[in-house]
Amino acid sequence: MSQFGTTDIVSGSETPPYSGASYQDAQDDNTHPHSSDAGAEKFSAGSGSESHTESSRSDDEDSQAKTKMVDNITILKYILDSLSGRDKLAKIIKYALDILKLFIEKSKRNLTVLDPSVLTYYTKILKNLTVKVALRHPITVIKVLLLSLLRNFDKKIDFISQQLSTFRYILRFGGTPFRVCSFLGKFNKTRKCNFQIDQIKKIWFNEASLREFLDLYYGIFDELDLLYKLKIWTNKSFYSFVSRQESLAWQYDILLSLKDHWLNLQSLQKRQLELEVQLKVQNNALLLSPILMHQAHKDDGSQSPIRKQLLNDLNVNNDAEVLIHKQLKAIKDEKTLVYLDIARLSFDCMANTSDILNLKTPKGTYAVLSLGSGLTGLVKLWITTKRSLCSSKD
Amino acid sequence: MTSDPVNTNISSPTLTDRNADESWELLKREFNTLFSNLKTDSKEEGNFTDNKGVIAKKPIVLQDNDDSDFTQNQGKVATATSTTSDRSFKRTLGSIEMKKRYVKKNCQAKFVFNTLEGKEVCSKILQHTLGLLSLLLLTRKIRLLNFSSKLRLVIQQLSLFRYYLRFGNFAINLYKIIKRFRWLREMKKLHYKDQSILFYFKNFRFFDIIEAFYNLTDELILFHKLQSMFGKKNTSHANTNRLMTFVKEQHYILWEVLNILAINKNIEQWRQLIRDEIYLSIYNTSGNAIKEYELKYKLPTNDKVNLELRKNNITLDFYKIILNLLSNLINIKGKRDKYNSELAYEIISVGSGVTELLKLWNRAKVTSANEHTSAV
Repeated sequence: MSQFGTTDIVSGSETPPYSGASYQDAQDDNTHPHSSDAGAEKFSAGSGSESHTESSRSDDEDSQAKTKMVDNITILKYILDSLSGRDKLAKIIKYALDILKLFIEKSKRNLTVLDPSVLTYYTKILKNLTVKVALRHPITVIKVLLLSLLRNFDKKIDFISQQLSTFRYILRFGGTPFRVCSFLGKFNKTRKCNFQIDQIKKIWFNEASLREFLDLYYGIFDELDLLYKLKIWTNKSFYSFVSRQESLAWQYDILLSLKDHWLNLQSLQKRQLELEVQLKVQNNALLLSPILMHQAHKDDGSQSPIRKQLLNDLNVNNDAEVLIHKQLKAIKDEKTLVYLDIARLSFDCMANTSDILNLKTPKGTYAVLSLGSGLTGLVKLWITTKRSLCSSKD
Repeated sequence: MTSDPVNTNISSPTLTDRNADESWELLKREFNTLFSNLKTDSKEEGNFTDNKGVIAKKPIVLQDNDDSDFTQNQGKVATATSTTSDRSFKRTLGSIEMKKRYVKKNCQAKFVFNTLEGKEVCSKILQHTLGLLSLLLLTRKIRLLNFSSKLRLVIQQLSLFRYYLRFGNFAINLYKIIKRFRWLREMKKLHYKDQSILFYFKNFRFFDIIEAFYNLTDELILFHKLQSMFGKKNTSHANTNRLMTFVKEQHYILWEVLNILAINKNIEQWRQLIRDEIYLSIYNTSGNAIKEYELKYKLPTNDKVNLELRKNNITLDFYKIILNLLSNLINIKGKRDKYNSELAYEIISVGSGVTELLKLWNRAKVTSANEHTSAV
């Protein structure tokens, strides 16, 4: 029966032998806007804080972490085995292809500006190509070959870009039921507390609820968008509404995340300043201590035990200083991640703003900005993965 | 108390008592500042005192006002209602248990769904269920052309999605093989100059090589699918078709070999499990007898529940591999163009997906239980 012959293209092979897909993925809610950065964001946030925490564990663990080397290919494998990593890589490839397509289109336009049929002509030449001709004029043949490839290349790139976009949509798909469940839980809680205003305020009027609401809002439209792409529904006017709402939801989410990261950065800077002051104070105290020690040796009997203890601590125990240095390092590392996050969100914000406001930007602006976002996201993911792999015991 | 600057030059030859007292006062003040800073920190950051180790552990995150956990809240409700009447208390407890279970299951589902494996398995089940549905629609002769075309598109996209999820492993496998090869060459140069080429064969894992080839064919098939989707006219090219048929055949064979290797591993796991079960039963019956074997044999799990869970996982793994082998046999034989075989293929594939999902579910259960324990 030939009717099954058509199913050949859809015959996906069986589940492959995954080796490293970890449940760390489960920690991240891979439900984010176009870039699906929430997944990465949460993944990295988790890992980031983990590394921050790890940095101040016991000395044994720390020394173990320091000595452990992680191969780049191991990190790449780890990233490839995570949802956020796959999403990031797909995003980078997609927008890199979009930029490449723009270049090709430009060069094609330059070629065909004088003679529109030049590419067709070259293709015809290639059809009559013999080995003899190829050997006689190799460079010309290569040029013609490249030009004829250009004919379909941009279309192929466009097709692959679309496919990657759909892949990323499917990757994000399916998070809405969980968010709805979470919301239902909150509704139940509100019902249970007999709609008391205090309780309602406590349950609903906070940032977590706002974020959950935005996630749900975005998730619904994102999933509707995918269903349109899969031609499950085909109402164009509704689609334009859906796509508009999706962009808006993403923008709100970006702004909220930007605010969070900004506040986080402020608190980190404050903490860093405090630690630096502490360190300075401690160093001054250490400079003073030999003078006092000298005095202490002179009249040993007349000293109080507290004074003796303090002096002894100052001279013998340098753990506090080491600890402060460790904390400072952890804060600096954390700050790097926050800077990367802010950069990524800024790229996303700029790209999405041009989309929302229908700004007349030069061609490829969206692709360049999104590529920037993808790259910063990947760098962050790389750093966090490296840290988590370095600090892992096995 | 003096505010005069203190000479802190330690190389100063003359040190008077007054200077020493001033230094002492200054040092005291420095300490006071230091401790007051630490106290402020501990107050700001929550519930720990001046333990510096704890300060370092505390991640700097912005806390939200919503500190009410859903499950915790359920507990509070239970306590509140317990004062009213016994009957209502029992009922509430029952509902609390149900809700806790519901929340737990919800978390587990989230756990499974938010992993690469989980996504792959879910899309596999969906893809083959839809395939089954489209086949059933064909037999019923229901004229839903529009619906069938939509189904086909969704199935096609899901299939591609799974290929994309697997894409990229070949490069990593190849890199690892090359790295291993280089290392072996160095080793051979250094220590084993007399060894023959068999040295290389002995040191490569058969599974790795098969896996690399499998990934290669998998990626080639993806490219072919993309190409055929892009322009259907080009696919009729005889050479491409012949090549792709060959690649697909290799792909199916390699998958079969991988499954056979997996079943071998599964059998080993079974053996280990039986050994552990025997060990556990002996351990439970006589504690003294085990002391003799304590050094020789180490039980990885001393818990019976864990052993049961492991048993479940191994059983599910076994079923999955068997189902994979069966479905792949249909591919190897090239019988997919026959209706009954196609139907059998889809059913077996759904079965394989479900068993794998169950296995992931079990794993999620363990992970969430561990997380809960560590949280407590």
